[in-house]
Amino acid sequence: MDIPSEHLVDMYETMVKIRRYEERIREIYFEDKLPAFDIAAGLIPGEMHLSAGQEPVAVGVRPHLKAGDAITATHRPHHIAIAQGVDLKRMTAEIFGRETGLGKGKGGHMHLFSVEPNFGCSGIIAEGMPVAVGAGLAFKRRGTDNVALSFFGDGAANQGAFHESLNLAAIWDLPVVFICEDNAYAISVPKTASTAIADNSDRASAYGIPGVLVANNDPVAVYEVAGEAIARARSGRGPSLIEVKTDRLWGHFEGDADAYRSDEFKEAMAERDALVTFGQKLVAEGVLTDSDIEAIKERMFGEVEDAISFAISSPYPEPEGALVDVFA
Amino acid sequence: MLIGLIANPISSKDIRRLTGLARVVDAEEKANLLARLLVGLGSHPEVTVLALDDRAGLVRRAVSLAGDSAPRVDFLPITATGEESDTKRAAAHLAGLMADALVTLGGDGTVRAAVEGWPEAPLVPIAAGTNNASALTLEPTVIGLATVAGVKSQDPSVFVPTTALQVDISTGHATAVIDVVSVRGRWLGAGALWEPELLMEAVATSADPTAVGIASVSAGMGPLAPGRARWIRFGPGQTVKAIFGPGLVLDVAVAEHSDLPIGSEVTLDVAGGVVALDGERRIVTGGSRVRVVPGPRVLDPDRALRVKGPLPLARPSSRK
Repeated sequence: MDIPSEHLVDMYETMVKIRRYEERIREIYFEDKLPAFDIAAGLIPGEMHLSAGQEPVAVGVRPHLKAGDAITATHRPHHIAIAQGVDLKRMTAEIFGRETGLGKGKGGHMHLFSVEPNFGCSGIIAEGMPVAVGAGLAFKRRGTDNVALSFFGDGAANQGAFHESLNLAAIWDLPVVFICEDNAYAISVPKTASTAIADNSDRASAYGIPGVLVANNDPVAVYEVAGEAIARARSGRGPSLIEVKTDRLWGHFEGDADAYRSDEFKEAMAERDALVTFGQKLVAEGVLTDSDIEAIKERMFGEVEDAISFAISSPYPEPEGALVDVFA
Repeated sequence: MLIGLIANPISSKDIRRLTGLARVVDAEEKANLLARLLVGLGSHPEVTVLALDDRAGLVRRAVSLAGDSAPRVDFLPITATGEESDTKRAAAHLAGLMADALVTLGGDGTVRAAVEGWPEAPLVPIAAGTNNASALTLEPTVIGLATVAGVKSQDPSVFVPTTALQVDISTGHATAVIDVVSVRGRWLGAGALWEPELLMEAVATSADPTAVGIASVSAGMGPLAPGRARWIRFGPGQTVKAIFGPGLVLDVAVAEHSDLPIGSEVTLDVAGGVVALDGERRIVTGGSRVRVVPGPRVLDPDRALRVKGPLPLARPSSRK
């Protein structure tokens, strides 16, 4: 497949931004929380689930999106939100619990909601799947060519909402692309102990829709498969299911001892880190030079720091506003 | 009688489910195909199956489904990683044990990986892939019976010689059983080929009009004599209507072609492209030099079942 260079560069830049973002959030998250882990202390309160390693799933989809498309993501949402172009400053302010955040500081990192671009995520496993089906139904009834994309983890594929969502999307022939980020563990439970089959893409056949396995964590493979699935949905040919075998480089949450994964498993992931290998390949192919890479890093790192500075300099919500905009 | 068995858990799951009308052969269906094979193999009391314990547990599930009708099944001392190298390592191990036959379950990619591990394998390839140009599409129970009959007959004509392709790469050589194709674009990506306008050159060992993929393109240029391969340069010239994949009939432009005997070598134009083996983009660097070589010997089930009459299906209950 001939892939436009601007898509390749954009995907790499976004991977750099995501990784830097997660690294900086990780550093700041632990400030003032140690030595005895205090989850409420520090600049970022609450739990934190970071997506380092899973960048290919997000950036491979990004070049195929258009204005008005809807995305739902999981409790590990930063990479998807960044790839869709959610305002990084307001997203960061939300994570820091500030008034200028996407949800005025009331949602935190697992509950990021943006109107434009149309993005939402949730700490409830598989919650975004029926929401994406709803968005797809709206697009179909309005006669637009927008698509809804639902990102979810391998653990979510054992929830009822997974099956209900695929069934409804199939019955109504909706423009929804379901994308399973299979990082092999649901929290600390290996997939082999929780899931009756090896590949959740098999489950597409139960609903009469295409199911595709992307067996490696390769942004270009995701780009090709997502491009076909999204084009299919946009042209009214219905939903599909994509499963990507991806890598969660760090623990389930920050503070996770991660003792359930062997050193060998973690070393293998680090060795095949897609951010590194994709950058090397772009240089080898002459798409980028080493100095381009450095310039991209400087620019992306700068965007991340700007967002963090914006968040830190933003005010906290006033206590008397605690019940404002709260609907349940 | 020692029968090797390698099942590929990830065959039939790639992008061609979106670019054509291919569908997933899911894990349970694969296990069921294997179970039917085991029942066929179990028709002979002296069969022992030595299998790769694949990461999806397909063979273990098949043993369970086949129950008492299965022959004895042992597992190779190989830990499956889910990579293609599993198949290659397992085939090489079975070659070392001089198994009487090697049964594979998958598509052309699975057969290719097995042949890389055991180039001269007496092969019984069961179709469970996307393109199955090299695989048998018969009922697996029949294939199991035919495998036993073929091995038992000791008739060399039961396993039919085929042609394969050897491709030079930096670490030695790679193998293809149906086709080697240079294709524009420098990314391996999702692997499969589905855009004929990107094809540059190909060498195909098949011109089977009942097959899909490059074999179907090759068929558009007439029959191919046994022991030969066909070189094709794509571009303006003759237009061939080919079954490029399941549910995908496309016009393919062929500029020129010629047939090559075993032992010959051709250099493909790979500039600005990558090389695909048996329908999957695999080689980024090198891959331009292609040799036509003898391939695996593949079971002819019909011949196997006729060579010494029908098999008795009954077997002693104390067989295990």
